Formats: sequence, C-alpha cells, structure tokens
Amino acid sequence: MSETQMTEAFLENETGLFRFLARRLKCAFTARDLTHEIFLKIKDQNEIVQIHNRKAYLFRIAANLATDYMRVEQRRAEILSEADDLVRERVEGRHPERLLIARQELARLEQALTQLPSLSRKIFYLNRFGRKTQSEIAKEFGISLGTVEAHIRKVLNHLASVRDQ
Amino acid sequence: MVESADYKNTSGEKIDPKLSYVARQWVVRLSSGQITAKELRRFKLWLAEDPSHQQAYERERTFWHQLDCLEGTVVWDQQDQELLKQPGGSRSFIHAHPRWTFMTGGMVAAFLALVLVYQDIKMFLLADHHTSVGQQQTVTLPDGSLAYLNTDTAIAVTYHADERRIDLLRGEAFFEVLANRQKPFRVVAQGGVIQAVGTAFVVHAHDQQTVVTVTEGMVAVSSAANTENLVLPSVAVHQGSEPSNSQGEISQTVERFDIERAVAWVQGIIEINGLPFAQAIAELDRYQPGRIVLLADLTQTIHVSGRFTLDGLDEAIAAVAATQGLTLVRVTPYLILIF
Repeated sequence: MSETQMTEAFLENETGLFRFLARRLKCAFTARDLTHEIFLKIKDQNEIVQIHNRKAYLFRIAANLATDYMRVEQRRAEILSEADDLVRERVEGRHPERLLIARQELARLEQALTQLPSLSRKIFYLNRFGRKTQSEIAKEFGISLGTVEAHIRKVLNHLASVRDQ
Repeated sequence: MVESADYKNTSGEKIDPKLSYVARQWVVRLSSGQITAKELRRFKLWLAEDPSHQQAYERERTFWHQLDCLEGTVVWDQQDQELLKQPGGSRSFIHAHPRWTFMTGGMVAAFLALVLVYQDIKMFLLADHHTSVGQQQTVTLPDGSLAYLNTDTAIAVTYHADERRIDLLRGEAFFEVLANRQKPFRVVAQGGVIQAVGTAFVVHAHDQQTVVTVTEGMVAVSSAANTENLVLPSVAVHQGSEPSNSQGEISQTVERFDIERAVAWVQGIIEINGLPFAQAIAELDRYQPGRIVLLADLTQTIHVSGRFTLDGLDEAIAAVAATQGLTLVRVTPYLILIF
C-alpha cells in the first residue's frame, strides 16, 4: 500500500469521516481535529501493509479515535466532579449560619474588594455570582485561562490577607 | 457553641500563613474546572501529608464559600459602567470629589497601561489571528492549510489569486501547507521570506532573528521582504534542518537537528534539551503571563533537560529551579524570583 493511495482514499472519504465523527462525538470542532488526526495517522505509517478495503480501514481508525476520545472525556468529567466534591463536601450540609460572616467583617471585605483592580473584581464577580466558567470568561475578555485564574487567586489572597489582619 | 467562629479558626490555634496561602491556591485550582488528574493526585497527597494541611484547607475552603455573602453587597456592574462612561460625562467633578481623585488615578493608570500595551494594540489591529501568552490555537487557512499558533503569536493572512501570504507579526507558528503550484505559500517574518510548496515547517520570530524549522519537504528562505524579488539568492532548506534568518540577511548555518523537539509544542509539550539554565527559564517564561527574574549567580548553573506539558508550567519552572538548588519565590502571580 503506497502512502499516496492511502492519502487519496482519505481525501475521498474525508467528508464522510468527519460526519461519522461529528455524529458520534456531537461536536464539530473535535470531529474536525480527529479527522485531521486520521490523516496524520495514515501518513505516519511507515510499514507498507496490504489493505484491501481502504474505506473500512479509515472508518476503523475513526471509530477507535472516537472511543479513545470519549474515554478521556469521561475520565476528565470524573476528575472535575471529584475536585468539585473536595471543595464543597460537607460545607453545604452545614448550618447556614456557619457560612455567614459577621456584619463588620463583611464590611471590611467589601472595602478590601474596592482596593482591587476593576478587571480582577469583575472576573471574580462573573465567576462567583455570574455563574460563568473560567473558560467562558477567558473568551469574553480575550485573555488566557491562566490569567483568569491568576485574577481569581489575586482577589482571594487579598481578601484573606484582610481577614487575617 | 458559636458556629460562625470558624471564620476565625475553629481550634483557636494559629495556622501558618504559608500553609493558608498554599491551601487557597488549591481551593482556586479545585474550583477552576481545569484541574488535571495529576494535580488532583498531588492535592490529595498534600492534604494527607499533615493534619495542619487538612486544617488550613478546611479553613480556606470555608472562607471561599463564605465569600458568597458578598453577592449583592457591591454594585459591580454599575460601578464598572460608570468607569467606562465617565470621561465624556457632564457631571461636575467638584461635587463628586472623592470619586474625582479616584477617577484621576484611574485615568493615569489607564494611560500608562495604554502606553505599555501600545505594541499589543498595534499587533491586534494588524493580526487576523493571535494568541495571548500561554495560549495555543489552530487556524484553518482559507485554502485548508493549517497554522498552529504558539504562545504570544500573531499572524496576518493575505490570499491573492497568485499568492498565499502569511505575515508572522510575532511569535512562533507551525504551518502545514497544502500543495498548490499556482499559488506559492509564503511566510514573511522580520524581513525574511520563507516559501513553501507542499510541506510543513515552523517559523519562530526571535528578538533579532528568524528561525525556520522544516519538518517535511523543502522550503526556500530568502531575505527579500518584497515578494517580487523572490528570484534573489535563496537558501534551499531540506527536511530536518534549521537555518536562521537574521534581520536582512541569511545565515549560512543550516544545522541538522531534532525535529520532534522543535514541534513538540504543537502537542502542548515543551521540550528542553541541554539548554543553559537561563535559556531554559526563558523558554518556559514564554508560556506564562508573568515575569521570571533571575537573581542567582548564573555562572554557577548547569545545563538543563526536561519535557514538560503546558498544564504543568508552574511545576516545570519549580523543577528547573530545583535542578540548580535555587529557591523560587512567587511574589505575585505575575512575578517569580529565583535566587
């Protein structure tokens, strides 16, 4: 099997492969990435193997890639949910008053917030009360995820330093 | 029992501020929705390491939830909107004296920021696609060729009937080019032109020189900024070699080297292969928004190798510093000192 024959087979079936992946993954972006990955995979193959049904072979690769991808995503979802539990567990079940802050403390924290840059405050606010995820905020402000997190860290550290004064 | 007392500290014992700090960073990371399996493992190890860790974490985690009380207490949006419309407003500044001083401070800061980011704005206006520090992006060009942008990179795309032209305004990009003999694919970076037919290559605009890495096929590198002069002497570069094209002239050094390393970043991996310590740190610094300042005696440092992922950048920097027995201090999220 020469590399060009395989490439030709890929180009013939590219749209089909993309649709197949998009149907499985329900995400056009990922489907496009994986379609591209199929191409890289067949180009990487050094050994010359005799493949009778090139189309079936390509779809086999696509199915494997989709399965791997979903496995990783599944694992990813589990990790995020575990992390979420670690931050929340038992806190929400506590007496509500335990999570309240004395009025004068609250006033100090409010005051502390005004000392922070407007962008940091805004990001913190959107993340906490606007229920926006960090990646949504990153997109909205055109900044990197790391920067969003740095702003949130900055706000929390500042508030904690006021608390500990 | 006063339940809200744990706002201060349940046990009444003093918690080490350093531990509190570390615990807070974990709280933020755990709530970020971005945490990796590896980080989660590290967190659990940290938590189990000592009861004081558990205690510090419980306190910071509670504080994080207590901050919910701040909802609605500050009129965020209104304040921010006022900041935006203030300069053109007809409000008398004298009446709003405290606000006036606040505004002046704000405007001075805004002006300074504007001067600082002027370069960025210029890039932003010229660029069709760009990434900020620490970000990577894949761009599909109009003909289906692909451009992978590394951290802090900007490109402008101009497609004509007889030419596909990409201006690399800043940073580093990897191109996978679809063959089309009628429309040569050219990348212009700092006055140098790289022309490709059907190939894959990386262009990295360093401070004063452009480095071209060819992973597949062959490209021609010339120093003519004007594409009409492309007939000028050019260096043909074959797969696996890396000529640098300093501003205005072509260096004759065409080296063979490790392709895998040069394009590792396309997969989100940073490879450092026997670089001097300062260079290794500079390479990692490219991917994070802050600045790393080296206060250490660089003559005492040894060369460094390593393979890092973009997700674990903070650890990577710490690990590289540790190879030299140096101390790393994060002064702010944007400033790291190594000494």
